[in-house]
Amino acid sequence: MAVPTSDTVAALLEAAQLTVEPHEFETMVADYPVLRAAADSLYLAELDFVEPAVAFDARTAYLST
Amino acid sequence: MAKDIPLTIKDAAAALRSGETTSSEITEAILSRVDLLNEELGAYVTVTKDQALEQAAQADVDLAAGNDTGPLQGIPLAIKDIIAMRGAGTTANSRILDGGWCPDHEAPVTARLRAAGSVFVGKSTTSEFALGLPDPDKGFRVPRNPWNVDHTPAGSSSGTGIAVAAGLALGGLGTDTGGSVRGPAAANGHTGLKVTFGRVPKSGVVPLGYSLDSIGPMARSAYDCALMLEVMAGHDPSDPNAADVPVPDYPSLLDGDVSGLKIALPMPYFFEHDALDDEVRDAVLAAVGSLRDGGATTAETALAYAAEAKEANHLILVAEAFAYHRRNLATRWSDYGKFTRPALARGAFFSSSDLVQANRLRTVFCAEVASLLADHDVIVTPTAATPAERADSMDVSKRLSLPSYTGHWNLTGLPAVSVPVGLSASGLPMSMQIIGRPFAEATVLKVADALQRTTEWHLSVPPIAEPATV
Repeated sequence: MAVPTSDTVAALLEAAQLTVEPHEFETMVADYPVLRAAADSLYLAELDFVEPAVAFDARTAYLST
Repeated sequence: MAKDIPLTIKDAAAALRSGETTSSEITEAILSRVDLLNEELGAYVTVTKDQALEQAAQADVDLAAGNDTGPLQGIPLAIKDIIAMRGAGTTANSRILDGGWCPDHEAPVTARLRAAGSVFVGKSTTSEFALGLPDPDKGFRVPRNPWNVDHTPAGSSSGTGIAVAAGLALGGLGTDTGGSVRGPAAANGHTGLKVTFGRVPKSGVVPLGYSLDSIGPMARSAYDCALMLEVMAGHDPSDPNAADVPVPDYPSLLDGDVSGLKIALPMPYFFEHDALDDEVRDAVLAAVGSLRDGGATTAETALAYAAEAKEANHLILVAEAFAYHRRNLATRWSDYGKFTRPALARGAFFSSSDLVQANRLRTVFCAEVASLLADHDVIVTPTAATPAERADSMDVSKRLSLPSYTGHWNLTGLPAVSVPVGLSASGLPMSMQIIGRPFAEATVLKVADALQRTTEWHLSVPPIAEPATV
């Protein structure tokens, strides 16, 4: 049985320790499927063997610390 | 009535050297305009009047003594209020920073502009933490579009956008993570450059998206942006992402010649989307026609993964911003603006694998763009799908489903300049975007400058700011 979107949103907010206003929660419940669909659209088969574009240059990474 | 002032940095620099005017006269005129218009337009959070007058007086003394530090000497600029500037605390338009962040610190980019003799009019309005929409209940002025105050000036570099359009500065700094330099430049009818990631050191800036952020110049003309970039660009060890790449003499490369230049027009997402306003599309294509008249060639093409790239940019931006803000969101939720906090909280809705997947999409999209730029010098698109929205009809949820044309170039890290291409029937600016290869700021500015040699849209002044009005 599918979990209601409101339960998912509530659980994610709780996990992140966020307490929101009731009207904000309603908007988030409405927006969540759109956000989830956007993220899901990135799981493309042709990306299965693609490296993420994460740059790290050890020559410069410690200069500011 | 304030004295009329030169419209561009280039003209002001010439007038300062010919003795036609002084930096003090220009600065005083601009401060008078600020007195008259800032309450209504909300361009500045903080006006640093005393500092500006001191800097202007010093510039006049130095120029009179033959100590010329370049074309930005004595030029009044606006500094976006997420960039550290000595003598003025940084609020990021947020109560979270409690009275100002780093008032005694100066970002490298601000230090470079100061050393070049610029005059800092003040800290300009930003969307809170460079995200979201204005919340009138948080004690900050609401920024309004000088072309029509019922419309948004766009964000997040709203204040610098307004200031340049309304003559409250001759140029200024914005930051761009998904379009925050180019959007306000487009909405307010002037030029704005998003630089290559790493071209300008971004230390001393309150971060939004660590892997996407950049600082860019905003001014009336592409030439003025080149004058500013010449000073702003270059490596600084305080920013691990700052690139150690030589800085060319940008202004000297703007020769107006676009003959033989190859322009790619990625049609399906960027020109054929249902949400794209017909007037905007026609104005952009007319401007492209002007470049074609100058000898450029154009090719209609396609750019794969354009829709997914918009989502990837948003996801990465939100994830990186949420990491920065989560602790404060958990303990000080109501101190954030009512539009900012839910936008930041979206970061809680994405998973760790979503972020990695977005960066994998980034890899393939970069490859697609690189392929397109292997055969073309620049890509041209509209900057925004429509002229500036009405402020009372903005809807952050609705935006999730609309196309965006700017975040793609943060995702790829490429330079992109926004230039005005006309006024809509409703009297609002319309704009196009020119994207180039990594560190090819000179190329995109050259194309923009060539267009501005044959058009005058970038010199249009909104009625509220015409000299006869102020």
